[in-house]
Amino acid sequence: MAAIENTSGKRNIRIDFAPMVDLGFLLITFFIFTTSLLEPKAFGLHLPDAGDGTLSPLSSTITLTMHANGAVDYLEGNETNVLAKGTAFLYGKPSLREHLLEKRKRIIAQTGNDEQYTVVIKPTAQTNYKEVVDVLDEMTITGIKKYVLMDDKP
Amino acid sequence: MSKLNKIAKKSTWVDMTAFVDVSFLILTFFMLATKFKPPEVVKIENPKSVSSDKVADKDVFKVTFDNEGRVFISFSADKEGRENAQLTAEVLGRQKGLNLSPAEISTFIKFSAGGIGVPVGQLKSFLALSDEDYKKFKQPGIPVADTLNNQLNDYLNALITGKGGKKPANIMLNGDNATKYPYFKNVLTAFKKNGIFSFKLITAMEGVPVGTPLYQKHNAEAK
Repeated sequence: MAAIENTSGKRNIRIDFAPMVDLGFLLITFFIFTTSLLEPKAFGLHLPDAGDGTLSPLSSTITLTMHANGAVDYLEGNETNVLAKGTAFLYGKPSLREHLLEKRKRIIAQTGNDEQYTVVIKPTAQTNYKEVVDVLDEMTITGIKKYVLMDDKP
Repeated sequence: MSKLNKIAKKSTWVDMTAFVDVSFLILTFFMLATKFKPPEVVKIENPKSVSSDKVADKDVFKVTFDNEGRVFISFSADKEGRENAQLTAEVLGRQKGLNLSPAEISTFIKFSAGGIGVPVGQLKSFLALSDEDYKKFKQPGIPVADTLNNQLNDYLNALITGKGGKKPANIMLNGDNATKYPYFKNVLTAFKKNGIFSFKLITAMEGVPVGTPLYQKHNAEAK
């Protein structure tokens, strides 16, 4: 700026930048509102084909019946041979995650590995999609490799 | 100005140059960071997951369901997506005797980028809507509640038949937090019926909880 003023000498050339700033911030505001910095992520889900299915050992199986608001009834074993049952919560205490991790410890103590650890997930009509995804996510978090999404038979 | 100058002794001129520099720097950042969202007819709030896989944006077939249980299908606006939309419209028109004209099929392709959620029976009158009416029109959703009349099945069947038995490369499921499980289940039933066993759910990202096996695994991989 100083260089221009000195060479021309006659007039003080000064441009009012205020409208440019206005315009700049208007555009910034527009882009801030249209930007989605958080990109959606994909969560893979693989369904089993209808078939005979595989049997998992009674002691390594846990069935989660999901109710509303993240309440989950767990049942270890199967209906005719219940090893343990109770209620855990997705978003509260007693925490479902801790129960699943504790169950793994028991399976490892019993059989030496957790290869057979199977979780059967049974959402009901009161369950929200969010809770279903959260339980599936819980499987990823706790590192459970075998899990099935199943309908709760009335 | 002359009057003002008599009162004020000092000029109040502020040099805005630096301000302009900063504002345009921020502007440039946002322009580069922006990715325009495709127009959506429904508002969906996705659940969160710890998954960090990117969502594909090419050759996508997407099934959306909102909190009222309305189901929509949409195709990405790229070449493969448009081809798939065209095949679906052609085969569905033939199977259901809708007699869709080429103009209606091209409308189907156009609307399918935003989402189509009408029963097969209403499809022809739906495709007569103008662009503005399409945005205003509250689509009833593809009926899935009745297992005998799961029309998502018809759409999927038309798509897969049209593609000669092949499945679209990226099948996405875009569900709302508050949707009840039965709707999700019915969508899954239609998927299973058409041999789609592997697909992706669209979720928002969430941090991995500290101390969990997944957290330890990530830590071990980082080392």
